[in-house]
Amino acid sequence: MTTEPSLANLVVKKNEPPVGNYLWEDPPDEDKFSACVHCGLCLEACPTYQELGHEHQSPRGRIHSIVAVAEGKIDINEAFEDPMFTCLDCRACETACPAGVQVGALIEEARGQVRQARPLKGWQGLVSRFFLRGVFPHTKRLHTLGMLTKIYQKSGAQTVVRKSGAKKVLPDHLGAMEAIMPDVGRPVLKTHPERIPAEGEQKGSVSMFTGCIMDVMYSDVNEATVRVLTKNGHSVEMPKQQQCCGALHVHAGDREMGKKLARENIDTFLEADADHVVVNAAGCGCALREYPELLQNDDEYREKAERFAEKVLDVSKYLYDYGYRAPEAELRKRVTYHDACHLAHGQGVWDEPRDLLEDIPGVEMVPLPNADRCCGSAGIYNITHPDMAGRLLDRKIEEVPDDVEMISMGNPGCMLQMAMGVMNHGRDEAIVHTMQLLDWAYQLEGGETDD
Amino acid sequence: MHNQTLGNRARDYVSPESPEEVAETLRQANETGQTVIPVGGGTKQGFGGEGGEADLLLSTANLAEVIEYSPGDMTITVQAGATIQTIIDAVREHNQMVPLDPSFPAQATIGGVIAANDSGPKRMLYGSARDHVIGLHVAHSNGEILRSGGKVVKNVAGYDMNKLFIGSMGTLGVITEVTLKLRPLPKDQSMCVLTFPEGVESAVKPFITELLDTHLEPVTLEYMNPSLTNALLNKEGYSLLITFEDVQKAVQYQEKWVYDHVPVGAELTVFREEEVDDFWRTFAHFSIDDDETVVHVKMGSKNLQVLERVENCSRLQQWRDLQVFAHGGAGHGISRAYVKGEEGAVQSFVQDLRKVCEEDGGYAILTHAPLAFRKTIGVWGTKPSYFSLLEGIKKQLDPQAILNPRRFVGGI
Amino acid sequence: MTEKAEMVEEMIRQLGDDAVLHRKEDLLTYECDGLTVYRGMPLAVVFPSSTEEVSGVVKWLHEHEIPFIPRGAGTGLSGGATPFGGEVIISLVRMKRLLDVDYDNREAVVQPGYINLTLTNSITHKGFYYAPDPSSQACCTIGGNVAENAGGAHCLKYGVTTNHVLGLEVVLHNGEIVEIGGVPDAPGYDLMGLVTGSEGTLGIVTSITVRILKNPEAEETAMAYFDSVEDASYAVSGIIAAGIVPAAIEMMDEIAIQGVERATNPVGHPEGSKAVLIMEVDGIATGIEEQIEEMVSVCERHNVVDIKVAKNDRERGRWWANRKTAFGAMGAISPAYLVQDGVIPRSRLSEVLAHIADISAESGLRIANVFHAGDGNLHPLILFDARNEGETDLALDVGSRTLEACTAVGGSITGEHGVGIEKKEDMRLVFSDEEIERQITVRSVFNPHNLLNLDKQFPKPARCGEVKQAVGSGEAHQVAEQR
Ligand SMILES: Cc1cc2nc3c(=O)[nH]c(=O)nc-3n(C[C@H](O)[C@H](O)[C@H](O)COP(=O)(O)OP(=O)(O)OC[C@H]3O[C@@H](n4cnc5c(N)ncnc54)[C@H](O)[C@@H]3O)c2cc1C
Ligand code: SF4
Ligand code: SF4
Repeated sequence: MTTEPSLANLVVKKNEPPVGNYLWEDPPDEDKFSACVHCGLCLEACPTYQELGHEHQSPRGRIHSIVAVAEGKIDINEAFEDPMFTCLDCRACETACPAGVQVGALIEEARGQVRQARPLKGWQGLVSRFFLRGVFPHTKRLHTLGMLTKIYQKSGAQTVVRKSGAKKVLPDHLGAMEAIMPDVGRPVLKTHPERIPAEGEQKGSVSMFTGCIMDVMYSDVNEATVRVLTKNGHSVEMPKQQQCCGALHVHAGDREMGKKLARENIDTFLEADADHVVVNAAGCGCALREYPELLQNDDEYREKAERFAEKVLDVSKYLYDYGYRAPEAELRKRVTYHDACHLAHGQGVWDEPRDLLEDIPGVEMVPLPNADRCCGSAGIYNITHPDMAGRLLDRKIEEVPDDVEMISMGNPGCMLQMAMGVMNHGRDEAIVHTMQLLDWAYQLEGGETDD
Repeated sequence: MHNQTLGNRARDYVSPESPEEVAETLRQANETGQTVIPVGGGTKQGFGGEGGEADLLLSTANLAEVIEYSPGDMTITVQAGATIQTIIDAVREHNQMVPLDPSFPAQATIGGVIAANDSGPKRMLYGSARDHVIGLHVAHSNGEILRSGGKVVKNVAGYDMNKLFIGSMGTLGVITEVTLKLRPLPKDQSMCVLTFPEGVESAVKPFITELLDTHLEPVTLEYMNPSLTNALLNKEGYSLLITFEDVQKAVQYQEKWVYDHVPVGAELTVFREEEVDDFWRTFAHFSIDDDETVVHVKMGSKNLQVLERVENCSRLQQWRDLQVFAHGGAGHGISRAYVKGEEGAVQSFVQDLRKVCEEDGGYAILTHAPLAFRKTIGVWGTKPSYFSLLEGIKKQLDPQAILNPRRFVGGI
Repeated sequence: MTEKAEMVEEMIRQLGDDAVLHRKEDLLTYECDGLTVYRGMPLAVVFPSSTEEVSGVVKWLHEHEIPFIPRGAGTGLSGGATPFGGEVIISLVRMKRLLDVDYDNREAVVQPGYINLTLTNSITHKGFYYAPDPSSQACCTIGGNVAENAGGAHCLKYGVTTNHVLGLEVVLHNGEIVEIGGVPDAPGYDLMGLVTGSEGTLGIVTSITVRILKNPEAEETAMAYFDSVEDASYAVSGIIAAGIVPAAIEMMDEIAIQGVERATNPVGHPEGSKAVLIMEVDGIATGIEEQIEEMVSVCERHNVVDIKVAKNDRERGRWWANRKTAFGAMGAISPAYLVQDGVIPRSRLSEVLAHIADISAESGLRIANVFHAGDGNLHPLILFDARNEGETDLALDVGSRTLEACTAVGGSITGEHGVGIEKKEDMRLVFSDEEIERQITVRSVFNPHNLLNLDKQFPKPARCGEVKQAVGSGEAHQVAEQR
């Protein structure tokens, strides 16, 4: 007799239906997690795994845990919560996964369960409720809220924002950056009319999703976007009833509020009835495109959500697909491009913004190594997980080639984070949105070159 | 046939007719505590071994059959006593080749080549025995014939036991059957010989570095010292043998590249088709009369250090009354020296050379030397730090140490 | 203090807090590797960052007779890194530095957790690459490759991992550090060759010197569609017989084609194709064209339906991505799959594929075939659904039967994925008890107490020789489990 562990005992038999420790609505979907074959091809794509080397902090590990809860092997507890919330929701794993596993959606569903099972308490709960429930869902409050502005301006983050703005880019004759960049807190939703006509011959008409943070922190980017669109013959409509996209809520596990916002946005934009809803904030764009996922169990809204989501396009992709004219003026800059996670991994938009930039005469594109690795911003991740966010940011900045003057990207969260990084590292690359660069190039037309 | 001074001799001689007979012989020897020296073509009699006479010389001469040749799979299974030439001839009709070019192919048996891990210049592109042997049958000292590997070209079932026997000098078992991976014969070939008069050899390294930085795919980059150059090519100075084997256009293109890059002061001669084979045949049969002490040294180093090794040989020869023929492959890291002279001079030469090699992280072992000589300075150089593992393996596979006693590293 | 707590405390003392996982939730994902049908819980997972740390950990575990398993990325497909229950996993993923590259001598030195593809990516600017290219290369570690002697599509021409390893640093079972190889034919038995492919049972590899190669001047890739697997198989033999040495010849059959087309990298394989061959030749540019032409004409002789040559690197890249994600792509057409890894003489391809089709029909389980046709290394992908009563067992049985089909024609049970847990018993299809036992005696030199990757790779010997040791290890195992 030997005491060798018997092989038969190790064979996993999943004949029983999952016992399940998910007790609330919208549990992680079995069809989604059973697509995972545990191959590990997603491991190296995952920034948190790269940093920690711990597999429960990888896409494969996270799914394994999600399945374990479904099978009743573990509870929803702190140990389950940690990897779910350490995930950046960057979706790099989805690009890498050969089986098409929707890791992001699974994790969001799991977070929903965690927040039900373990509501945030104390200070954290307070802050979270304040922002997620008290501020973001209320466009007005957000707009009038001096606090954000003040926090940013006083804490030095203003310099960061400004740094990331136009000053370094802009030819002097167009005026100093201060003059160009509207004060923080003057959103286009307030300053612009509901409908802005196209310049010249009308080629298309779009609704624009202005984004709540984008419109407060980077209203200049929104202005630039409007100018670029209209310049290219696309009229822009900005339905005033639009709301925060709800991405932050869903990421934080507050699916209820997320759904509420989604329904409002769907109604607002379907009513406006434009062919396309363009977005310049990748995080929002991705969330809007995933409304059908969020509302999959909502009989009333499922179909509407699909109709709506089909219209949503990132502005770079919209321009690329529906017509734009390459600027004629020269903008002689060395530029590198950072892939916002929710643009590249979330929406599959890789080449379009690069092509737009490359079409600007004078712009020299320098490749950024690992351009599609998350910068650590990830919504409010840099606030909830400053350590991990900081490590990723450091790596990101260290990889920025020495001789570039600008780093371009398509997401406000990334812009803030990268501006912070550039500042912390004592570097002086300007952080710009792809639309800003295009806008500047158009503005230069007719004038001299920038240097 | 047997040379008295080379050692590795035995009182009795057997030449079994079948693998089973080999195994049975071993089993009996093991039971009675008799020591056995396996022998193939006898070309390595002077390689390894510092002990006295053994009891039995076990020859594989009668195990020389081709067992199975499958051209479609590009594999061949032969008995261990088949000579390299036998295999070359067997596979030629299907335009295939054994990618091994050891010395004395007509005498050397495949079993012996594997046990001694002999290789030639073409190792650079094609690799050595460890890259081509895919299966072995080995008679173990307890009388079992055990298989390792198999007959298919890719196989990771269990340990890669083939590797243990390659280069083990017959100290772990007697190889009775070998399965090899083959290659198609190249459609065309040529060899560019660059000779560098003494003083110009400093141009060799930059030339090789430049060549290696191109996409050229040389089969050999063998560097020879002046004595060997003179003996084989009847030319003065150092020489570099660059062989190309490919489809005709590719061979011509590569040849042209060399033609366009001949270093200043060097001279180019091109060998084509049959001439190339003829040359390599001569090369593989190079030997020197042993009217004085003759020793062959094999050195292992990093690839480009081979150039230093070959030049070391010339330098160390200078103030000694010796003949030293040396060559080494800049693409595979093995260099060899054939040294002839008065015993003391040869001895101090080898010791100095060994010192240089070991200081560089390499080794210098004697692949041929008279027994007395081997006893004085040792065949294998400094014992490796992991010697206990080698010893352990020997103990497991041949617990009574009947096979080739004291033939191997550290007296195994 | 329980033994587990003591061990955890010691590991934390040696490696630091963030280098030890021991909570059940954190360990769960380590209960298996890329093969999910066998699972066992480790006692803990530790993350050393240097050879010395590995050595320290191993020394302590050895002294306390706790079995341990080295683990890389855990992409293994035979359960090599899967615990039976109660082992400590030593994860090498934090040892992921490129230590040195010597372009002149064509060598690179990497730590074991260094990712296969990252090596190629970091030397490509100099025109170099690392040849062994398992389909998992974007995430598997070179340490894991050495342990499994991994192969890949391009191993047909360039050889498998063992042909590219030049030197190893290994931590032995007791923590001792040795360096083997380094120069070619180092005197002594070829320990480097032995350790390569030993699935972590002989030592923990802590540094690897590998050969790097210069990129070929040119490469051409062709994709050929056939109406039957037989035609495609004959085309493969024909190409080899023509004396061409292709860099790769890969085949996918109908179900596999459906899978990859439904997954993340579709390339538009025509619907209904029964077999596709992806063939690549590389080398000196001027000689490439005639080789690809010859391959095309061989395919034409074997009733090729359509054949196309990649127009540029981008297209070639897409084709390879399509092929390389084929295993994972099965997730798109089946909730689970089991991949087998039998090897056959390539001249028997069509015969064995027909046999496998019969096994599939009899069992009622779909089998997709995606494989390295050039060297006869089959990968039957057995598709099943673990939620159906008895289907996991059926799949395992079908797996073994495909291996029998391979060994029946003189083949092997594994060409690159290793034996691990999965194929231990199947070892008997290729080796006699004596042959297995002899390998175990070799193991005992390196791993006398069977602590290193306990009981992997070999079945229990039918005869006594090893029983003493086996019992010893069983005890260690049980103790571990009780903790
Ligand atoms: C989608 C997919 C495709 C694949 N394609 C291929 C392919 O084409 N070719 C191929 O050969 N394989 C393939 N594999 C199998 C697998 O990727 C290889 O076996 C790989 O070499 C395993 O590396 P790893 O780092 O994941 O090792 P792990 O799975 O972590 O470990 C594998 C084995 O190595 C041991 N080990 C790990 N590191 C060390 C070390 N440093 N020292 C000693 N032992 C160690 C472990 O104990 C275990 O026994 C594939 C796997 C997947 C999931
Ligand atoms: S979304 Fe990003 S952080 Fe989360 S598991 Fe996927 S790759 Fe990792
Ligand atoms: S998520 Fe996708 S890539 Fe990751 S392990 Fe699962 S199937 Fe593989």
